[in-house]
Amino acid sequence: MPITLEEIPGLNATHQSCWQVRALAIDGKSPALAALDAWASSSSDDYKKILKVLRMVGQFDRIHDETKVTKSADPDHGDVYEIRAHKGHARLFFFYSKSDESVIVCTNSFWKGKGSQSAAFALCAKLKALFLRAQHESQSR
Amino acid sequence: MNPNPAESDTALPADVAELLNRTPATTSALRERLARAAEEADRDPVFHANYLKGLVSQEILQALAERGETQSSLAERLGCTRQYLNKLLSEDRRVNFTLDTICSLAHLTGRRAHLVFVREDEEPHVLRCAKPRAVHRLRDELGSTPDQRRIHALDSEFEIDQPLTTHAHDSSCAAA
Repeated sequence: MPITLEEIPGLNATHQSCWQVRALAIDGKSPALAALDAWASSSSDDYKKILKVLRMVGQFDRIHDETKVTKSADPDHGDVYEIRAHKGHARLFFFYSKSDESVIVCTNSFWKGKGSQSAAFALCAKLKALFLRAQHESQSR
Repeated sequence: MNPNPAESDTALPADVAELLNRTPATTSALRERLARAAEEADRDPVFHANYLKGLVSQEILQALAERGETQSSLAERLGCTRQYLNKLLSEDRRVNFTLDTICSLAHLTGRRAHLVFVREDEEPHVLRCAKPRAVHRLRDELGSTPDQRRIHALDSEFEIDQPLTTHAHDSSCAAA
Protein backbone atom coordinates (compact mmCIF):
# COMPACT_ATOMS: atom_id res chain seq x y z
CA MET A 1 0.00 0.00 0.00
CA PRO A 2 1.91 3.07 -1.20
CA ILE A 3 2.38 5.93 1.23
CA THR A 4 3.23 9.22 -0.45
CA LEU A 5 3.60 12.90 0.39
CA GLU A 6 1.50 15.18 -1.78
CA GLU A 7 2.00 18.87 -2.44
CA ILE A 8 -0.68 21.13 -1.06
CA PRO A 9 -2.11 23.55 -3.66
CA GLY A 10 -1.85 27.16 -2.51
CA LEU A 11 1.62 26.86 -0.98
CA ASN A 12 4.64 28.14 -2.88
CA ALA A 13 8.37 28.25 -2.19
CA THR A 14 8.04 31.37 -0.04
CA HIS A 15 5.67 29.53 2.29
CA GLN A 16 8.09 26.61 2.60
CA SER A 17 11.37 28.36 3.25
CA CYS A 18 12.03 26.40 6.47
CA TRP A 19 9.89 23.26 6.10
CA GLN A 20 8.31 21.64 3.09
CA VAL A 21 4.62 21.26 3.81
CA ARG A 22 2.98 18.11 2.47
CA ALA A 23 -0.15 16.01 2.86
CA LEU A 24 0.13 12.32 3.66
CA ALA A 25 -1.61 10.01 1.18
CA ILE A 26 -2.17 6.27 1.54
CA ASP A 27 -3.07 4.35 -1.59
CA GLY A 28 -3.92 7.56 -3.45
CA LYS A 29 -6.11 9.02 -0.70
CA SER A 30 -5.17 12.03 1.40
CA PRO A 31 -7.52 12.82 4.29
CA ALA A 32 -5.83 16.21 4.73
CA LEU A 33 -6.34 17.28 1.11
CA ALA A 34 -9.90 15.94 1.18
CA ALA A 35 -10.64 18.03 4.27
CA LEU A 36 -9.16 21.18 2.72
CA ASP A 37 -11.25 20.56 -0.38
CA ALA A 38 -14.42 20.14 1.66
CA TRP A 39 -13.75 23.27 3.71
CA ALA A 40 -12.91 25.33 0.62
CA SER A 41 -16.33 24.60 -0.83
CA SER A 42 -18.49 24.58 2.32
CA SER A 43 -16.68 26.69 4.94
CA SER A 44 -14.69 29.38 3.19
CA ASP A 45 -13.83 31.25 6.39
CA ASP A 46 -12.41 28.15 8.03
CA TYR A 47 -10.53 27.19 4.88
CA LYS A 48 -8.88 30.64 4.73
CA LYS A 49 -7.94 30.50 8.41
CA ILE A 50 -6.31 27.09 7.93
CA LEU A 51 -4.61 28.23 4.71
CA LYS A 52 -3.19 31.26 6.52
CA VAL A 53 -1.53 29.08 9.16
CA LEU A 54 -0.44 26.47 6.59
CA ARG A 55 1.41 29.28 4.85
CA MET A 56 3.08 30.25 8.12
CA VAL A 57 4.16 26.91 9.58
CA GLY A 58 6.57 26.25 6.71
CA GLN A 59 8.39 29.54 7.27
CA PHE A 60 9.34 29.16 10.94
CA ASP A 61 10.98 26.53 13.09
CA ARG A 62 7.97 26.62 15.40
CA ILE A 63 4.78 28.69 15.64
CA HIS A 64 4.53 30.36 19.05
CA ASP A 65 0.85 31.33 19.01
CA GLU A 66 -1.28 28.54 20.46
CA THR A 67 -4.37 29.95 18.81
CA LYS A 68 -2.74 28.91 15.52
CA VAL A 69 -0.81 25.71 16.36
CA THR A 70 -1.24 23.49 19.43
CA LYS A 71 0.66 20.39 20.43
CA SER A 72 -1.25 17.44 21.81
CA ALA A 73 -1.25 17.54 25.61
CA ASP A 74 -1.38 13.72 25.78
CA PRO A 75 2.17 12.34 26.08
CA ASP A 76 0.98 9.04 24.56
CA HIS A 77 0.40 10.85 21.28
CA GLY A 78 3.99 11.98 20.98
CA ASP A 79 4.89 15.06 18.98
CA VAL A 80 1.75 15.70 16.97
CA TYR A 81 0.16 19.07 16.39
CA GLU A 82 -3.01 20.70 15.20
CA ILE A 83 -3.46 23.77 13.01
CA ARG A 84 -6.47 25.67 14.25
CA ALA A 85 -8.94 27.91 12.48
CA HIS A 86 -8.99 30.48 15.29
CA LYS A 87 -12.59 31.07 16.41
CA GLY A 88 -13.61 28.56 13.76
CA HIS A 89 -14.26 24.81 13.73
CA ALA A 90 -11.66 23.35 11.37
CA ARG A 91 -8.56 21.61 12.69
CA LEU A 92 -5.78 20.06 10.60
CA PHE A 93 -3.29 17.68 12.24
CA PHE A 94 0.38 17.28 11.39
CA PHE A 95 3.81 16.23 12.56
CA TYR A 96 7.35 17.39 11.85
CA SER A 97 9.67 15.00 10.02
CA LYS A 98 13.40 15.59 9.82
CA SER A 99 15.03 12.72 7.98
CA ASP A 100 16.46 13.48 4.55
CA GLU A 101 14.43 16.66 4.31
CA SER A 102 12.59 18.90 6.76
CA VAL A 103 8.92 18.20 6.12
CA ILE A 104 5.68 19.07 7.84
CA VAL A 105 3.31 16.18 7.14
CA CYS A 106 -0.42 16.93 7.35
CA THR A 107 -2.42 13.83 8.13
CA ASN A 108 -6.05 14.19 9.13
CA SER A 109 -8.67 16.68 10.17
CA PHE A 110 -11.28 17.40 12.79
CA TRP A 111 -14.37 19.59 12.95
CA LYS A 112 -14.85 21.05 16.42
CA GLY A 113 -18.04 19.71 17.92
CA LYS A 114 -18.06 16.55 15.78
CA GLY A 115 -16.24 13.71 17.45
CA SER A 116 -13.25 13.67 19.77
CA GLN A 117 -10.22 15.93 19.42
CA SER A 118 -8.17 13.43 21.41
CA ALA A 119 -9.12 10.66 18.99
CA ALA A 120 -8.09 12.90 16.09
CA PHE A 121 -4.71 13.50 17.72
CA ALA A 122 -4.38 9.74 18.29
CA LEU A 123 -5.18 9.12 14.63
CA CYS A 124 -2.46 11.58 13.62
CA ALA A 125 -0.01 9.70 15.84
CA LYS A 126 -0.95 6.39 14.14
CA LEU A 127 -0.56 7.90 10.68
CA LYS A 128 2.81 9.29 11.73
CA ALA A 129 3.89 5.82 12.91
CA LEU A 130 2.76 4.29 9.59
CA PHE A 131 4.69 6.91 7.64
CA LEU A 132 7.89 6.46 9.66
CA ARG A 133 7.67 2.67 9.45
CA ALA A 134 7.15 2.77 5.70
CA GLN A 135 10.00 5.26 5.32
CA HIS A 136 12.28 3.00 7.35
CA GLU A 137 11.29 -0.09 5.33
CA SER A 138 11.87 1.83 2.11
CA GLN A 139 15.35 2.93 3.20
CA SER A 140 16.23 -0.61 4.29
CA ARG A 141 15.54 -2.06 0.83
CA MET B 1 9.24 14.70 -3.67
CA ASN B 2 8.20 11.08 -4.18
CA PRO B 3 10.29 9.40 -6.88
CA ASN B 4 9.94 6.17 -4.89
CA PRO B 5 6.87 6.17 -2.66
CA ALA B 6 7.30 4.15 0.47
CA GLU B 7 5.39 0.91 0.66
CA SER B 8 3.90 -0.43 3.82
CA ASP B 9 3.22 -4.10 4.32
CA THR B 10 1.75 -3.47 7.74
CA ALA B 11 -1.98 -4.05 8.20
CA LEU B 12 -3.76 -0.77 8.87
CA PRO B 13 -5.29 -0.06 12.28
CA ALA B 14 -9.08 -0.21 12.18
CA ASP B 15 -9.59 3.53 12.65
CA VAL B 16 -7.08 4.35 9.90
CA ALA B 17 -8.79 1.90 7.54
CA GLU B 18 -12.16 3.44 8.39
CA LEU B 19 -10.77 6.94 7.75
CA LEU B 20 -9.45 5.89 4.34
CA ASN B 21 -12.75 4.22 3.46
CA ARG B 22 -14.57 7.54 3.79
CA THR B 23 -11.79 9.59 2.12
CA PRO B 24 -12.23 10.28 -1.60
CA ALA B 25 -9.34 9.66 -3.96
CA THR B 26 -6.96 12.57 -4.44
CA THR B 27 -7.73 13.40 -8.06
CA SER B 28 -6.43 16.13 -10.32
CA ALA B 29 -9.89 17.73 -10.12
CA LEU B 30 -9.50 17.98 -6.34
CA ARG B 31 -6.09 19.57 -6.71
CA GLU B 32 -7.45 22.07 -9.24
CA ARG B 33 -10.29 23.02 -6.91
CA LEU B 34 -7.83 23.66 -4.10
CA ALA B 35 -5.57 25.69 -6.38
CA ARG B 36 -8.53 27.87 -7.44
CA ALA B 37 -9.63 28.27 -3.82
CA ALA B 38 -6.15 29.48 -2.88
CA GLU B 39 -6.09 31.89 -5.84
CA GLU B 40 -9.45 33.27 -4.77
CA ALA B 41 -8.13 33.77 -1.24
CA ASP B 42 -5.12 35.59 -2.68
CA ARG B 43 -7.43 38.06 -4.43
CA ASP B 44 -8.97 38.99 -1.07
CA PRO B 45 -7.04 41.89 0.51
CA VAL B 46 -8.60 41.11 3.91
CA PHE B 47 -7.17 37.57 3.77
CA HIS B 48 -3.76 38.89 2.80
CA ALA B 49 -3.81 41.52 5.56
CA ASN B 50 -4.67 38.83 8.13
CA TYR B 51 -1.81 36.71 6.83
CA LEU B 52 0.66 39.60 7.15
CA LYS B 53 -0.58 40.35 10.68
CA GLY B 54 0.05 36.69 11.50
CA LEU B 55 3.60 36.99 10.23
CA VAL B 56 4.24 40.16 12.26
CA SER B 57 2.83 38.54 15.38
CA GLN B 58 4.91 35.39 14.89
CA GLU B 59 8.10 37.39 14.30
CA ILE B 60 7.60 39.37 17.53
CA LEU B 61 6.64 36.29 19.57
CA GLN B 62 9.69 34.48 18.20
CA ALA B 63 11.91 37.43 19.08
CA LEU B 64 10.53 37.48 22.62
CA ALA B 65 11.18 33.75 22.99
CA GLU B 66 14.75 34.14 21.73
CA ARG B 67 15.39 37.06 24.05
CA GLY B 68 13.69 35.42 27.04
CA GLU B 69 11.54 38.53 27.37
CA THR B 70 7.92 38.72 28.49
CA GLN B 71 5.10 40.58 26.79
CA SER B 72 4.82 42.72 29.93
CA SER B 73 8.41 43.86 29.57
CA LEU B 74 8.02 44.63 25.90
CA ALA B 75 4.76 46.49 26.53
CA GLU B 76 6.49 48.65 29.12
CA ARG B 77 9.28 49.48 26.69
CA LEU B 78 6.77 50.14 23.92
CA GLY B 79 4.81 52.46 26.21
CA CYS B 80 1.53 50.59 26.19
CA THR B 81 -0.34 48.21 28.46
CA ARG B 82 0.31 44.48 28.43
CA GLN B 83 -3.35 43.97 27.55
CA TYR B 84 -3.04 46.17 24.47
CA LEU B 85 0.12 44.42 23.30
CA ASN B 86 -1.54 41.05 23.86
CA LYS B 87 -4.48 42.16 21.72
CA LEU B 88 -2.07 43.16 18.96
CA LEU B 89 -0.11 39.93 19.09
CA SER B 90 -3.26 37.81 19.22
CA GLU B 91 -4.62 39.74 16.22
CA ASP B 92 -7.65 40.96 18.10
CA ARG B 93 -9.91 42.69 15.60
CA ARG B 94 -10.48 45.59 17.97
CA VAL B 95 -6.89 46.76 17.44
CA ASN B 96 -4.62 46.95 14.42
CA PHE B 97 -0.94 47.23 13.64
CA THR B 98 0.24 50.54 12.26
CA LEU B 99 3.50 50.79 10.39
CA ASP B 100 4.79 52.88 13.28
CA THR B 101 3.94 50.12 15.76
CA ILE B 102 5.45 47.41 13.56
CA CYS B 103 8.71 49.32 13.24
CA SER B 104 8.80 50.11 16.96
CA LEU B 105 8.19 46.47 17.88
CA ALA B 106 10.87 45.35 15.45
CA HIS B 107 13.36 47.88 16.81
CA LEU B 108 12.65 46.98 20.43
CA THR B 109 13.23 43.29 19.68
CA GLY B 110 16.48 43.79 17.79
CA ARG B 111 15.00 43.53 14.32
CA ARG B 112 14.04 45.68 11.37
CA ALA B 113 10.87 45.31 9.33
CA HIS B 114 10.99 45.36 5.54
CA LEU B 115 8.13 46.02 3.14
CA VAL B 116 8.07 44.75 -0.44
CA PHE B 117 5.42 45.40 -3.08
CA VAL B 118 5.17 42.88 -5.90
CA ARG B 119 3.01 42.66 -8.99
CA GLU B 120 0.17 40.13 -9.04
CA ASP B 121 2.19 37.69 -11.13
CA GLU B 122 5.29 37.97 -8.95
CA GLU B 123 6.43 36.43 -5.67
CA PRO B 124 8.86 38.05 -3.24
CA HIS B 125 11.95 36.13 -2.21
CA VAL B 126 13.88 37.53 0.72
CA LEU B 127 17.60 36.99 0.97
CA ARG B 128 19.07 37.63 4.40
CA CYS B 129 22.75 38.34 4.42
CA ALA B 130 25.34 40.25 6.40
CA LYS B 131 25.06 44.00 6.27
CA PRO B 132 27.19 45.53 3.51
CA ARG B 133 30.32 47.25 4.75
CA ALA B 134 32.06 50.08 2.92
CA VAL B 135 34.97 48.79 0.85
CA HIS B 136 37.34 51.46 2.11
CA ARG B 137 36.71 50.38 5.72
CA LEU B 138 37.44 46.76 4.82
CA ARG B 139 40.69 47.73 3.15
CA ASP B 140 41.76 49.88 6.11
CA GLU B 141 41.07 47.01 8.50
CA LEU B 142 42.78 44.36 6.39
CA GLY B 143 45.55 46.63 5.11
CA SER B 144 45.86 44.79 1.81
CA THR B 145 45.35 45.43 -1.86
CA PRO B 146 42.23 44.25 -3.70
CA ASP B 147 43.64 40.79 -4.58
CA GLN B 148 41.94 37.51 -3.88
CA ARG B 149 41.89 37.01 -0.08
CA ARG B 150 39.88 35.59 2.78
CA ILE B 151 37.53 37.98 4.58
CA HIS B 152 35.77 37.12 7.81
CA ALA B 153 32.48 39.01 8.01
CA LEU B 154 31.81 40.39 11.47
CA ASP B 155 28.06 39.89 11.34
CA SER B 156 28.06 36.31 10.18
CA GLU B 157 30.27 33.27 10.25
CA PHE B 158 30.71 32.65 6.54
CA GLU B 159 33.92 33.28 4.69
CA ILE B 160 34.17 34.63 1.19
CA ASP B 161 37.12 34.07 -1.03
CA GLN B 162 36.90 36.30 -4.06
CA PRO B 163 38.34 39.56 -5.34
CA LEU B 164 37.01 42.64 -3.64
CA THR B 165 34.92 44.77 -5.94
CA THR B 166 33.69 48.30 -5.48
CA HIS B 167 30.40 46.78 -4.27
CA ALA B 168 31.01 45.03 -0.96
CA HIS B 169 27.27 44.39 -0.76
CA ASP B 170 27.46 42.17 -3.86
CA SER B 171 30.37 40.20 -2.40
CA SER B 172 28.76 39.51 0.94
CA CYS B 173 25.37 38.63 -0.53
CA ALA B 174 26.92 36.36 -3.16
CA ALA B 175 28.68 34.46 -0.40
CA ALA B 176 25.39 34.04 1.47
